[in-house]
Amino acid sequence: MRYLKLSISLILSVIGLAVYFVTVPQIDEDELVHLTVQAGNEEILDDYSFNGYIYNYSSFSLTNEDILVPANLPYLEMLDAREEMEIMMLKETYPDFVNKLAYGTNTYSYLISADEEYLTSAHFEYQSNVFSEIYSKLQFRALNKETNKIEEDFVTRELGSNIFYASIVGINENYPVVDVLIDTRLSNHSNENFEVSELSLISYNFETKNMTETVLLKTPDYIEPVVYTAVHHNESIQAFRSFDSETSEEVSYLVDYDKDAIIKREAAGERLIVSDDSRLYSIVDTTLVEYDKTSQEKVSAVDLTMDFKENKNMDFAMNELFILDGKLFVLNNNEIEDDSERNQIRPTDLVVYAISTGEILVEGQFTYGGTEQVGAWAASIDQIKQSPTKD
Amino acid sequence: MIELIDVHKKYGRKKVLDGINFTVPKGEISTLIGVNGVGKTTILNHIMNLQPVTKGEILIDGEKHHPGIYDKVSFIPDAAITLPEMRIREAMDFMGSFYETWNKKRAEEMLGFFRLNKDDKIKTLSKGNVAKVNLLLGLALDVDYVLMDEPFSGIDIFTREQISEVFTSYLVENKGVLITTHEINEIEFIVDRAILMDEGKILREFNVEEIRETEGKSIIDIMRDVYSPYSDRISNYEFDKQ
Amino acid sequence: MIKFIRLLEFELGRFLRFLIPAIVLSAVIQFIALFDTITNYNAYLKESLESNVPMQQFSMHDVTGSGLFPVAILIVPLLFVFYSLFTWYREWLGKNTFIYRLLMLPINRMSIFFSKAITFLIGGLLAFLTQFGLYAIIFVIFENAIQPEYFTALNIHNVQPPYEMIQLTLFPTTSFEFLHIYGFAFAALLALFTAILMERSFSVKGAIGGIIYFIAYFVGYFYISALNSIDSMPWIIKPSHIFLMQGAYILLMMVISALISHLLLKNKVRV
Repeated sequence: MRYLKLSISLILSVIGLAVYFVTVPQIDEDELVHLTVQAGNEEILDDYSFNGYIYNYSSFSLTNEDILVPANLPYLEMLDAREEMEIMMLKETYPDFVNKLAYGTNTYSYLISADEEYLTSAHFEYQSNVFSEIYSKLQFRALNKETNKIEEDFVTRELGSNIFYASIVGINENYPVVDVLIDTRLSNHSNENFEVSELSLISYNFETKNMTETVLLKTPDYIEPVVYTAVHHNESIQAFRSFDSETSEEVSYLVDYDKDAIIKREAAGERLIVSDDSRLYSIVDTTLVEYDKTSQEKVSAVDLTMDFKENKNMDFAMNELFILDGKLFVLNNNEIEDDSERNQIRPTDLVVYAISTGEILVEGQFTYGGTEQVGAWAASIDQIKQSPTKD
Repeated sequence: MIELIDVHKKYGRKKVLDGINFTVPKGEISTLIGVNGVGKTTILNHIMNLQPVTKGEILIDGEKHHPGIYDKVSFIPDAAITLPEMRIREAMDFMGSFYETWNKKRAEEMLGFFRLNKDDKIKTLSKGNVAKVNLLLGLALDVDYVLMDEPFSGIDIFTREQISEVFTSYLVENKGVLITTHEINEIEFIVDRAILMDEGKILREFNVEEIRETEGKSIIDIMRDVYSPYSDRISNYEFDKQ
Repeated sequence: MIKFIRLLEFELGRFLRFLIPAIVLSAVIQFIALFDTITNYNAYLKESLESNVPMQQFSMHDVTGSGLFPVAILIVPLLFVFYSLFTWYREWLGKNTFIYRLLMLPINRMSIFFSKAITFLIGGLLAFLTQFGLYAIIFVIFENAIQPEYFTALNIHNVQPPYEMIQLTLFPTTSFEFLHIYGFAFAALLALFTAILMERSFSVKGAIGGIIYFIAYFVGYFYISALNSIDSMPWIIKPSHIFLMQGAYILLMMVISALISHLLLKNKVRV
């Protein structure tokens, strides 16, 4: 035959390509992350989105209606997807405001504060590689949702040359004032191993264009926020944890934006939670304690029942905790303990308590598929948020 | 006719062709004569657009170069241009599938004439047989012009005679042929025109038979005249022992 | 057109004489690695069962990650690199100068260029798909050789260890990525061909120019890819925009390479 090699090659190629793409696993999103409610009223979960990550595949955001898996989006959309679900939602509605932060080439370490009237943000804007210059230029932006106008102001801070790292870790807006918390790491030139962390509060007024800077805390140990999120909702207090190298114990701090102050909390083994209405709670062992508006006085203490319908291995010291709408959400992401279990990703347990009574409202479990489909080897949920109401 | 108009070729600083003008008319056998390295092969390459000219024009039947030219002019270079792994018949098939002017019948005839076996792989052939294959592939095309570069180089005398026979046969009838060679005595009585070149220029272009009749001189005599200031160069050419 | 297809068939035949042995060699090594891993594991399994040590899970990743396997996978790409130069230089160098015949064919000379290039395209697809078929075969053998409770099933599209260049670049899962990656490679091939033709037309000067052109192709691509990370761009560039720009660049470079090569083949190349 005249064109034997060519014909055979072309036929093989076409068939082969077809087979190749047909066998690409269709991701069954329901199987990827599936919530089973084991006890209680599942409608309670309707208003929330559970956000997490499947390793090493994609983040996800699960609501009662839908699941968003960025890696499973059409290709171009997938490229543009950002890790945090809330950012993805916000940039649909407010592209001009969010795109600069999400895609800007010289935007670093941004946080957004969102409420009904305003979107505000703060970030470092840099144009050089000199460390002290990277972190000295700060930009504050505010979007008035009603007028759709964006205000943008630059602010320059005085910094020493011994700074080697900084990030924005907290934001609270009270237009025209926006408060921002910056975690700065400084080195001691004479001894490079020695470093100091500074937590500073920067307060900027959009109307007077004035900025004030106060160092709230200076410590040789690390400081990190209890909750990591790119989008804040104006909680007036924010919890931090640190490790006291002198006492070898974990220490908690509370920043109060209204008072511009920081409080150190001495209770050992305590987990701090800030509720969505800016109230402080803490859990020690299995007791949930509520504090008053000053965050100093205890208002009530409730015992959380450990009487689960299905076997659960909860340890409040290790779990993810969220208080929303008067409910305590507890997530237990089970880690793999030994290699014999590589076959399946261990599920995440969910328990929802009523904080007034300590009773269980909902008991559930998130199961994960995906070992076969996407070669996933672990998954966890690390964020619960109110489902954003469409503006 | 093939026309070379003011063709120049420079290699770096060295000027190889310094204003070459001549023609290859159809129906005549012309020979291009010159010492080794004078640029004969370069000229042939230029005609076939296998090398770019520095300056000048080459027209084939009044046309500038285009891919269709290769169905008008056939070139048999002094180089191995067949794939050694191919069998003779594969090489013939290859030619047939690209050249509209491929004359299969004539190719088969030449196979017989040269006593070549179709199924032989070209790499197994002797030098003389390879030369015959090259000739076969070049001459089995029904083209108007044939260019041959040193068709006799390195060939034994018996093969040479066969090749000369081919020239005198219908194979080159009505075609415009241009041959470059050192073997003047082999082609003396075959060629119609001679073109003598030296140092990048054409020194003389003449009709062989005319000169023989009017001046009583052979090609070699004319060469002596033309090249005599450079008589040491003539010793590059073979003479009859007489 | 028919003449082009004839030339393509011809070039493809020449390439297959190299490609098929290379694929076979690669396959043989892969099977060696497979059986080696299986026997090792079964031995380990036996030992563990006897001494009651907890068992390690096993999956295709253990086959594809092991020593010989990546070597086998590299054989064919290496052949491609070699042949991308050889396919041209073989016409000039060595005992025969087939370039004469190619240049004297009564066809547009770009047919030579494209027949060589598309040979790579087809050869590439064949290599890609035979490897995929090999994965399937290895997969089946493997599944049957290891007891199921110790075996983590994977989809064929995930068999290379994650994070590794091989899975991500050679076996993409979306058609966008596929076109992009193989488009990038094809445009690079055309740029290389152009560089080779420059060298064949202008010797040393051409070689230098060709190398610069070839490198410039990559520099241009990586510059576009890095637009996101260069500081102080006055505009917002989304990753999807970068992807589209890369695609446009690839197409543009294909066209430019073809145009330059066309001019060289028509006017400047020498036997």
